[in-house]
Amino acid sequence: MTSFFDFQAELNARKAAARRPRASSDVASASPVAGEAPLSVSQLTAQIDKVLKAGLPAVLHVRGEVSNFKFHTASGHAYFTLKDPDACINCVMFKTDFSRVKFQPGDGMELLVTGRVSVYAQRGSYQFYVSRMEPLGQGALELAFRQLCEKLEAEGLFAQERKKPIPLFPNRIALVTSRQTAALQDMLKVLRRFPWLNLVLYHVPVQGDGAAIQIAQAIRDLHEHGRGLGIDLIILGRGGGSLEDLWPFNEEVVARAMVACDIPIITGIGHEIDVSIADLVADHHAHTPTEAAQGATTRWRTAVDDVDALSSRLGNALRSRVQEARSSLVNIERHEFFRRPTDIVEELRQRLDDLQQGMDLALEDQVSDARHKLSTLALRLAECTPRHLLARKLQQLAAAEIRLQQHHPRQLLALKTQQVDAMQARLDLAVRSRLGQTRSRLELLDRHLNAVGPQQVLARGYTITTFKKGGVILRSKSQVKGGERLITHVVDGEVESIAEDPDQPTLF
Amino acid sequence: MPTMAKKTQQPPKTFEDAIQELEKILAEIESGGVGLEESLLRYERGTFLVQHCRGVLAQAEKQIEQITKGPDGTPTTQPLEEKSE
Repeated sequence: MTSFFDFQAELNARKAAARRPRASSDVASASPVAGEAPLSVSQLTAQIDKVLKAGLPAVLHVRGEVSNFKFHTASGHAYFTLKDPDACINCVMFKTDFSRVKFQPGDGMELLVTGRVSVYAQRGSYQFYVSRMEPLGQGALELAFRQLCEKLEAEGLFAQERKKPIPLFPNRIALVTSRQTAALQDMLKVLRRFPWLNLVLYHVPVQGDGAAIQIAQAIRDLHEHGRGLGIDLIILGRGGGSLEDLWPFNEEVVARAMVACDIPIITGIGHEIDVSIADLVADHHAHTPTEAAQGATTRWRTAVDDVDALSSRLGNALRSRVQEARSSLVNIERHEFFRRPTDIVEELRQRLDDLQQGMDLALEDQVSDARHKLSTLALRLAECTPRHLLARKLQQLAAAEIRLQQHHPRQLLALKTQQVDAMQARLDLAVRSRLGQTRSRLELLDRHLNAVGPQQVLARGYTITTFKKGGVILRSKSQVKGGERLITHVVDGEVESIAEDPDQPTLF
Repeated sequence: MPTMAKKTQQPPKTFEDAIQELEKILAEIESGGVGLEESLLRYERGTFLVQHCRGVLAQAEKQIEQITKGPDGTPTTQPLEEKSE
């Protein structure tokens, strides 16, 4: 591409020259001071570009530290500044070049870049057009390997827990490798020892540009359709080579496809010492294609012996099981029951006898019960004959007659008379007793009356005076008027007198 | 019925399944955990599996196939015409 840019720059210069047909072809000697026509900015820029190119080799190698690294996603170009303590230069790396860079450049990284210097006319600046870059002090691939390693490791893609178990007896194995390689022959040499194995080749280029993409695609195809085709194991193999040769197996696309694949993958890539990213993400990692094929068939190697061993174990197991059954049968036969088989029958017979006897007794009880009931019923039945009924009715009739006689009028009259007499006697008694009571109560009252009456007071010599008119008792002298007739009561009679007027002296 | 079982014997899908089933049958018979009748049935199955496994191992060498993609991009397999290199 470097040549392309040179060509492009030259073309630009030519165009610029063509735009000013009358100017001297020796622009370097032109001088405005000398009175020549002034240059346009474009003309000046073109001349500067030319001077720069003329004074510098077409291909330059520059070393410096990266800063301000920017990757422009839309265009795919990378922009950065390369600097040392005293100077710096803007750098650009176009998509086509940058896509070949395996490692990831970053700020602070010491780089060796290859390219050319040119003027960026639109901005009036010069810059370094990088066509290749390499880290200083180590190879670009080593750095790229380390960087991808760290990235995938951080994602846990190398973790043992993530890895799928390799089937012990793979039946149909897909070999992902190139048809033309010794690696394929190495693997077939091992695998053909197991003639029953189904082998499927998925041909892919194993080196060069685009190999990684195709290997990744092969693994994705197997992930999607492999199970449908009966494939239960994948071997990814490649013979030895330089780091560049083996590079497809260090590409991220391959690693991602392997991680996503649900069929287990064994890798056998390169020689003993080579370890690729593919090895690190593989479910099992062998050092060479031959070892990978051996790893896939570890258990198959002993399969014949294993089946023989299982077969004889099976025979032994059944024999001992039968032996076991036989000996437990012998144990059962030795049991008492089998030695005296009639004992149990005799025992049962005895029990039968007992039951029989009990049953007889129970039957007898029931019969006598029934007999008793029958005789009771017979008695009751006998009482129901016409003669018995007649006798009972006659009896009832006689009783009724006696009760009827008790209700005859004569009887009733006598009864009532008796009752009246009794009541008469009770009445007499009551009257007499009532009379006696009254009499004695009267005497008692008389005595009381005498005790509280005036007669007693009079007997003791007191008198009572009353007005003759009206009979009112004289209680105060103010009641008395002269000439009034008074009666004085004494114990044995009355004395009549006439009162004098106490306020009027006697006139006579 | 052992004779009937023999007619309906189905081989496991893979060799690995066959070996695992054999191991299981052995464990069952050896532990004495199953009855005698059942043991006989298992034995019958076991010998069938052994025959099956031997049959697998005796198979003739298989031709190598190659994966090719059809016009719709679906991978299919076809015999690989091997040229000596």
